[in-house]
Amino acid sequence: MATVQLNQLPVPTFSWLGVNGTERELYNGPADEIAVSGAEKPVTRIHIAKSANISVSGSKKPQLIVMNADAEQAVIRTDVHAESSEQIRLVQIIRGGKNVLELHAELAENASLELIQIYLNPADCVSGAEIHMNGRKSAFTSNIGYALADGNALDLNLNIVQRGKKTVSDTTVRGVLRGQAKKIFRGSIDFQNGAAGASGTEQENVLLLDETVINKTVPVILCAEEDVVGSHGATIGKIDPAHIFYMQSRGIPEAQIYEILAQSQLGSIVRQIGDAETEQAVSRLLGRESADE
Amino acid sequence: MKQKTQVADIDRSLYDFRFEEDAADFLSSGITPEIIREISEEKGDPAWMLEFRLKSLEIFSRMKMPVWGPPVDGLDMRNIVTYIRSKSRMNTDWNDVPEHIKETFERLGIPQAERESLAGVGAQYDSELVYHNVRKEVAESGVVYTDLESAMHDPQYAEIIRTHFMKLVPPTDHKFAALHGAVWSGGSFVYVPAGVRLDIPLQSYFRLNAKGAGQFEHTLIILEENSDLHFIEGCSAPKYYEAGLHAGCVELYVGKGAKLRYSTIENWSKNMYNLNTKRAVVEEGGRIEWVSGSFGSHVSYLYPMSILNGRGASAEFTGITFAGEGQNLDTGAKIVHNAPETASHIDTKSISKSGGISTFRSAVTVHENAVGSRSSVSCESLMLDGRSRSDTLPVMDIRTDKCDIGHEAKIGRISDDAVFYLMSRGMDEQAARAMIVSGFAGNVSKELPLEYAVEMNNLIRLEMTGTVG
Repeated sequence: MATVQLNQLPVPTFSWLGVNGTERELYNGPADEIAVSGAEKPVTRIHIAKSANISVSGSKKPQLIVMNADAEQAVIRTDVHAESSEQIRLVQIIRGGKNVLELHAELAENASLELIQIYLNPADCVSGAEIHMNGRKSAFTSNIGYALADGNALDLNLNIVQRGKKTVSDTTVRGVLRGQAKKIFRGSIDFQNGAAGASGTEQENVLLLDETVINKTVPVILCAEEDVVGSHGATIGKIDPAHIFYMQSRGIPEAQIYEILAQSQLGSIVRQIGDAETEQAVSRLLGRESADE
Repeated sequence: MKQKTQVADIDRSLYDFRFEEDAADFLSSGITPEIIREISEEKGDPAWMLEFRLKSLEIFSRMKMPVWGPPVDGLDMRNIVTYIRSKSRMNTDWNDVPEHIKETFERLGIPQAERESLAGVGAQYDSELVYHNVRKEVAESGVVYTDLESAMHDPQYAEIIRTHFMKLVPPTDHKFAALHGAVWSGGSFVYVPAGVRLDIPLQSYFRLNAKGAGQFEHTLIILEENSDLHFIEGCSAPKYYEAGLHAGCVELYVGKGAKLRYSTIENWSKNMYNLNTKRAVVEEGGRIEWVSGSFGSHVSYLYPMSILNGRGASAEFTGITFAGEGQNLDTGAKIVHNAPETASHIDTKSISKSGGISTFRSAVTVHENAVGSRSSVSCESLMLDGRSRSDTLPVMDIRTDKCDIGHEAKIGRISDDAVFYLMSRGMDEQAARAMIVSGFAGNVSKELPLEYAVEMNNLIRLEMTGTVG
């Protein structure tokens, strides 16, 4: 195994915070080569149990790719090329395991990529995504959800490079941390010179359920263009006591309230999947894992 | 054809006058143990301070330059003169200050401010304080406001200095903190006894006149329980082609229930590297308020840090950064929540124009013991043209569930809708845009004492011509 630097921030900050990147020994076992094209069928489901190199290309019709990864240890690389006006929805469900995910996407004019990532109790997952919005009016939407229990670790890095004019990006991240879970989310919107008329938003909402969790949030905006609108926000904390009070007044026991609110935290992400079979499966998993806690 | 709105660079003519150096002591450039010993001997340091300086030099020599932040390759330490003593020694009577130094500070408005609105004034010229004075009634209340060297040699305060000096910012903190520990000179010592509340501020003004030089003043402020102080710091230098360096250090100790407001208008010339370190520790129920305006320097690294060590301690940082042509200003704040029920708020604005680079960088860390803590961070950036750059890099490191942390950031240009609205109320476009930019900076100016708010508004002199393209 080789040690590599992963998830580097596009612009480093104070070294003592330990957020500039991470280091992992990269598993170098055999990898499957998988090519997915929207020309073949509108919905593609892939089960990933070991390392894989996946290339995704679009077609004239919108397409949905659902990746369900439950490998114990794997490196999963995904390359997405959306040509002019192509629409791709990529769903990645990552369950357990010590995995490294790398996503690289290139979007041409009017192309759109919708990314949905759901991380369910990853033992140690490092996931990096680099989205290059090169084409005019290309669009990128991401909905990322995570549920981490005691001993889980998740290191996320999303770098959105908006190069084309009038590009639009919108990122929503919602998660729940319990026990001694550790999570870092780096989300960067990089408005490059020439991206006139571009806009980008990013919002993370983190629910902390135990005093032993570690949460790091790094929302970055880089801007070299005057005519853009960018914003990011983050809210991190416990459940609002008003919500607990309201639900208690309706006769729901306190322990159950936490589970309901934790599931609802990711529920809005799950509903974005757009594939009933997958949505039901993920909802079942969420409920089971909450019940196991 | 539409014409682009022009927003002028900051008018620095007020600060760009200079006098030929007439220094009595002008040590060689560079940093060696011999130079450190010379500085120490010149200042009559106690033995522990000489030892401290030499240890700091060792640390400086082995520490690496920061791997983040703006480039500092234009700064060659071999060419920086670290110590210059004026012919004038420290005075408490303004009339005893040499004419050219007096004229410098008079042109900067310092004596007038002292007469009108300050409880005490310190003025540093190059490496040494040349004037320090405090109103009689303030001194009688037990407040000590003097230069750090005098305090270090005064048996009454020597031990306080020894036990507090560079304890908040140790030389191992970073390379330029180590440099400061080795070559520091000048700066102020303020001690406010328990229960004493000063209604009017104290101010120190730092002027670097010599070219190719560094200024390394150290400010140490100790507020005992339930005391209250507003301290103002101003900095400027004339422009030279040679790089200059400011690596000052500010250490603030805020006692139980005490409140300190620390206001800074930093307006170094555009050949300066401003690598300054400021840090406060706040005890139970205490409060630190930072008000910071960064307008000058070629390169700036400035992130005042507040360590909230006592239950219920709080910190507020309000700042504005204006980066114009040739400037790369990296500013922000750091907050450490290290006790229950602590609270912090960061509110910053930055403006970039004419190729200037402005970076907001922050760190909010909430430790396991900081249950019931709250923090909010808000940063807004305004881009005035497509040649400039504005980045925001906030970090939140949260290690307890019983807290509420919020962050928001926005970046954009002057809103056409806002201009349209003001024009629909009868304003012309130039006035509308000027009002929007002034309003953008308003959160800082309203926190400053009136005369400094006026100075800041003068600094951001806006020239609007034509309409926007």
